Amino acid sequence: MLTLREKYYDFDQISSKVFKCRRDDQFFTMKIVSILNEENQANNGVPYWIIREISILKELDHINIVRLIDVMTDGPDLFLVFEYLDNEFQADFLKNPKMFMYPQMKKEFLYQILNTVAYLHARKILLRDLRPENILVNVRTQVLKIALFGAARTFEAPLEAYSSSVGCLSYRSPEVLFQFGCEKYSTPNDVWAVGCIFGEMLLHRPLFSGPSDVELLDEIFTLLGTPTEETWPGVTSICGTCALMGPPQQPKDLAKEFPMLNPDGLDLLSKMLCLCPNYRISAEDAVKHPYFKGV
Amino acid sequence: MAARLEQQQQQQQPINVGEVKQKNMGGEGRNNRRVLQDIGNLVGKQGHGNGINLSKPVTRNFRAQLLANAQEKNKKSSTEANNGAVVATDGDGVGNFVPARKVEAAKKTKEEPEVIVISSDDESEEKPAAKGKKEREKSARKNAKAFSSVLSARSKAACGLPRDLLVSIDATDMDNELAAAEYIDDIYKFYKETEEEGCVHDYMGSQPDINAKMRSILVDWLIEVHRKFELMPETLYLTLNIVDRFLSVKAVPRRELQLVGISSMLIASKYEEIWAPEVNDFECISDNAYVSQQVLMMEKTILRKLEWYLTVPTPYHFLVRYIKASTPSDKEMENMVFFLAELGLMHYPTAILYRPSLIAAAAVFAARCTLGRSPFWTSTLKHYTGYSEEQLRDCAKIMVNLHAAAPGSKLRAVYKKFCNSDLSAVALLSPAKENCLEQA
Repeated sequence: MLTLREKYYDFDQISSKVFKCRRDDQFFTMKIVSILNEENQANNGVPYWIIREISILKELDHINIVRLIDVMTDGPDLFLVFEYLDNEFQADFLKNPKMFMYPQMKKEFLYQILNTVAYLHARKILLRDLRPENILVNVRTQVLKIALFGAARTFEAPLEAYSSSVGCLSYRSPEVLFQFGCEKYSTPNDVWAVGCIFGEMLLHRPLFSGPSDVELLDEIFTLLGTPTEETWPGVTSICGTCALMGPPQQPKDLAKEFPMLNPDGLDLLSKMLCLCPNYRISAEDAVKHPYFKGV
Repeated sequence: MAARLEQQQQQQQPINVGEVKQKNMGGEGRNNRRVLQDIGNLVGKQGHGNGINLSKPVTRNFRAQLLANAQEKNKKSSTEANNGAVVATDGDGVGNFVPARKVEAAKKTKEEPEVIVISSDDESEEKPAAKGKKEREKSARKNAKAFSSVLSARSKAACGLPRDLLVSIDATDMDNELAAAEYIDDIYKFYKETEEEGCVHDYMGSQPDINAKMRSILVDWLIEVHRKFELMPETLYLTLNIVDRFLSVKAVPRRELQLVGISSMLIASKYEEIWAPEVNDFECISDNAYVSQQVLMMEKTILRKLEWYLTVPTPYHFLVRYIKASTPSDKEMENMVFFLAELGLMHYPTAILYRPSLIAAAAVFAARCTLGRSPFWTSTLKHYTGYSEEQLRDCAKIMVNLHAAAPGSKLRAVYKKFCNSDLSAVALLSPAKENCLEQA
């Protein structure tokens, strides 16, 4: 079996744990992951999130997902070899100033994100941590890639309980925020995150940015209205107490909040940001929404 | 051993053992793997047969509109309803496909059921619904179950399956996001397409130091460990899959077989559980037979040998689906299925000769025979499993024989586990009679 140095060469450091390397005439990106804990001991072996990330990535073959090519081990380190994305691919895609030059580009990228999420859901994979930092784009070729599957995991249907302390707070769905330790959530959680990213694309700032669960819920209800038993059946039993929901608020007019959106765009945004997960549009249906006509 | 297996292979209906493309066979074989196609719930222009022609996604509004049209049309002309196929909804809102003449007969004998006729898209355009938008949405929510079962019944009718016998097992989940109903067919299609890659060939011939009996002893012990740690069922099935796949690519000395078992369970726990047991828990449970360093080394070896492929369909994935298709199901039925499946997985020839979906389907078939659920195999089960009774009979017979032999066996973990009243004490029930399986 070839060692790491025999298989790959010409290492160029990109960041502390990421290198560009070569094999034959091809370039690759290598990510180094240590399996040691804070005390520098590998006392529990390969971390669970690495096992999940690698086994999930090995299964995927999609233009909008960064492809895992190889996994090498060397002492306490794992070397994940990914397809090489040239300098034109910018991480944290919403921070790219060119992103907002053409309205059609936003639509194109949103379509690619939804298409990828639908692909993952159909392969029983929940992303759980979808946020702009994990999305790379090449503005010139208009290709988008989703990276970092640390929080992804497979799900069974019907869904089992999964950890609720996942995902960046700003992109966390109301059902996850509400349940405070009740860990049942599903595919709509990822669709909510895409809705938040859509809003952020349009406003050039995070749609919701509360520093805590409760404040974030308040921000969500300020925009979308406080849920009721009619709009979200069972909501009172989920949150246990209505105190969490604060005083009842009416939903704002999304057309005024997002004047740049046409009626189809507003319809899609409202369906992705539907408070009740049961009524939220699926990624599969969102891809077919009239908003994407011509994409 | 190999000769005995060959003999069994001829008698039973095995997967094509020699030609199985395996997860652990290296990279080059995987490039031609079928990638999931573009997914969608759009129906082509040709329509669904029987007058329904969907050319747009079934949104709640569209669903409501169809229902509203149907009900309005039904009021206008009950004679039209009697000519075509209709859907009678019973009390719980699940639609049953009934030919019109059967509905007529039903009307004479019992209270008139609500009858819904689905008009085509074109007709919807001509006759807009009378109800207001809010009312339509309310009716959509109320009738969502019935309508989804209408759609599934329509598509099944188009497939030429017996309409009156087929039950849509996902109809009640359409408004439950935890059931992932809109993806369920894609998921199981994907499982069926990829299950062979996780299967293994008969590997005992290439294991100089271990045999099938030792594997059974290991599995028996792992089932006990799994129970002690109170792990999720899928963790057990993934553990056994990892063990078999690893043993099929690496010769293991007898003294390390238990080490392979605990390292496999450690990996499976990390993959499946929210809180996985730690390495020292496995050390303790194996009576300190191995030190943590050995477990960690073996963990890495297994992952490397299996090329980190852990997202594999196991019998568990199919069991939950097929139990759901075995309507009406109850706890006793469910526990009997799991009991028989675990007995099957302990038995080396069964575990390697049959693919996961067939093991799951055979367990359901054998459980129905054991509990006297008539008919033993239904159109619904045939539709969702893709197997006929004939294809399952050999594997089911093995499971029934294993059930009969379980009380006297030295390996009692599965038997003891399912003697427990928490699991309906199904192990204590009499096994199915051979002739039941023959008659089925």
